[in-house]
Amino acid sequence: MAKHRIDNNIRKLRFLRDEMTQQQLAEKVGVTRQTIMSIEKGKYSPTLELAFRIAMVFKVPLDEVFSYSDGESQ
Amino acid sequence: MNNMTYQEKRSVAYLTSTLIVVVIYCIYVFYFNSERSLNPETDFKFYGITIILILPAMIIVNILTHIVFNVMHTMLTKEKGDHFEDELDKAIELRSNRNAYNTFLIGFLLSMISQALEMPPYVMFNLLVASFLSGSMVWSISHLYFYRKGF
Repeated sequence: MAKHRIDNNIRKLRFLRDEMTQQQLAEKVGVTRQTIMSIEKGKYSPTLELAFRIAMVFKVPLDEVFSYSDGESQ
Repeated sequence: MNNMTYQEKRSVAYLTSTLIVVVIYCIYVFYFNSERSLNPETDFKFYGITIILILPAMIIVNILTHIVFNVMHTMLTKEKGDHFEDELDKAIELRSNRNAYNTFLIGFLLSMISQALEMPPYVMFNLLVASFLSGSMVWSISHLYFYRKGF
């Protein structure tokens, strides 16, 4: 099975939203700051539901927040 | 400790509480009762009582750890104590439980092997208690590992 990776632009999107803090984003999507931190660092891939909630907070399509790449395409 | 999150600190607190129970168990069994006769009949009674005592002791130590940790954390960090479980916590909980059950299962099998090899009953009982406490430690270490390294 090819090694895959889910990258995200959450840090950049937070910066563009008046430096929204991780805590503020966590409260908006209903998770803990630890979870936002883990997602930002690429340590945890969120569920589809949480991914959509994050995209809705930033008012952008899902693929502007998350991008998928597998080992073969790199 | 300052760069650790609430969840990571909590895992360290639970690991410490389990280590305290391990130390108490070792002192009770190997120091205060090291002179007891190795008669299998008295061994069964002794370990029966010890295991009955260790389970509530573990629960009490965990409750105390939970209370003391939350009070200390709120006092030192001034953070609100409204910590809740989200999807990452649940996923980590499931993986940590799996690791803890596997550890206990290995210990349980070893304790049965000790009886199959006709070893004294105290070997089986100590292996059972050790696997239970190791499982608890593996649970805390797994939590810490998954929160720090991710999965």
